[in-house]
Amino acid sequence: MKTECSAFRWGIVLFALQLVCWGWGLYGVGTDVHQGDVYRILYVHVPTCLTAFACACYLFFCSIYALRKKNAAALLWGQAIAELGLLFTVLGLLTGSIWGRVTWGVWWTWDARLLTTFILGVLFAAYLLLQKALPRGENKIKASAALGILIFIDVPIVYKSVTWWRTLHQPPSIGMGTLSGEILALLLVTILSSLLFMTWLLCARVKNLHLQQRIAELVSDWH
Amino acid sequence: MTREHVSAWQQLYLFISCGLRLEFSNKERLLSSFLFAAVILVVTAVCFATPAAVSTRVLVAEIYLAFFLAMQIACLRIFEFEQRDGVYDLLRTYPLNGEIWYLSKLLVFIISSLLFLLPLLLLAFIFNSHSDYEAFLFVLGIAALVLVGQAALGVLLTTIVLRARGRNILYPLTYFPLTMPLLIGAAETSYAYLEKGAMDDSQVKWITLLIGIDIVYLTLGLLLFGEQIEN
Repeated sequence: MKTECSAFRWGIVLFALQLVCWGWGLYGVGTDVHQGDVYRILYVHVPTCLTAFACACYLFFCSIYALRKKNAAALLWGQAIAELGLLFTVLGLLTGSIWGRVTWGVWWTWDARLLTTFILGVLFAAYLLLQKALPRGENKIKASAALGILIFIDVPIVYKSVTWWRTLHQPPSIGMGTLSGEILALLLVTILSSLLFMTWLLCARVKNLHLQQRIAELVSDWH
Repeated sequence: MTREHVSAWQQLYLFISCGLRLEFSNKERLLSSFLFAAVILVVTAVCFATPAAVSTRVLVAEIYLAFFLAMQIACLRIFEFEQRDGVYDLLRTYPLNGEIWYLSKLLVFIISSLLFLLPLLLLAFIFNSHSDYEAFLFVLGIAALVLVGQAALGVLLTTIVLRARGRNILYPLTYFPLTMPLLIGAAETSYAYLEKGAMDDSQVKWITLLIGIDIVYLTLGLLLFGEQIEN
């Protein structure tokens, strides 16, 4: 019980940190000379997209582990990661779309970055569907793990899409010297806080899935 | 001869020869994909009776659209023969080399797909009044690169979703996103070549990307296929 409370408190702290970062981004830093206030969505958009990439990385390592150990618990982790990956990809696309409406004048365009990110979301959804569609057993672990590894291939393609293709989307900003120190510092803190919050959500979801599975087993034993 | 004495080369030879014999024993399998693609070509050629300025775009679009859809149908049928009478499950109990099985499936699939890819490309060029022989060969080369990547991915994905419920939905859902980089690369390269009539630096980058993706899919296929078929 004490551990549960402590985990819950950690969740509140991390979510509060996330809110503080967003609030700071909205009111605490200066306005961009070229884009005006709309650039502030960067503090939500960039962290959510990078967190979605992180989910794909987690899924990659989780899948390798699942293949090597043939461990059913890895399936639960895979499911939780894919759910969060899908959530953060959709959030990234939505916030990007809002920014695109103001900057480009359209909600959606078939730009390489947008398309490859959309593909990442479809792949996370496909992973979840595959898990639901397969009967329990080693085959399910292997098939899910193989798809989990394939999903990771999309991440470098999404990242490099703005340099490989002629796109509306701007090239990578972090590490290119195009952001001021103040904006960059807050952005990095927001990314870190988003990653930590996602990790907390992941642990909480896995615990939840474990409990669901345990209840399902008890119910089936009862019958 | 005991099962353990069948060497990897013998397994490869047996798989390829049996696979090809099975492919050619059922003409419907080869014809249906080709006819499906040909219908797409005819419909687009009729609907887009285009001026020369946009005909190259239409040509590239219809080639890869027809190719992608025909390949998707062909990929879904990769294990059709083995699944009959429980042969697939029986083969999984044999001490077979997973990489050899994968390679032979891949080669048979590539050979049979080339049989409809060639006439398909010819038809597309004829319908759009393109008579440039070098451009035809260039597009054929690019399409072959796409074929290798799609086949490598197709064989692996078919194995992954083989036992899933609703695999007819799951397969395109996974196949479409993962083949998109290949198709975009192929379309961009082919269009640029057909427009300019020569290769430049950007096309070299595209071709490098296509080869890179082919290698990644082939490697993953070789590494993961064995795990999927393991009993």
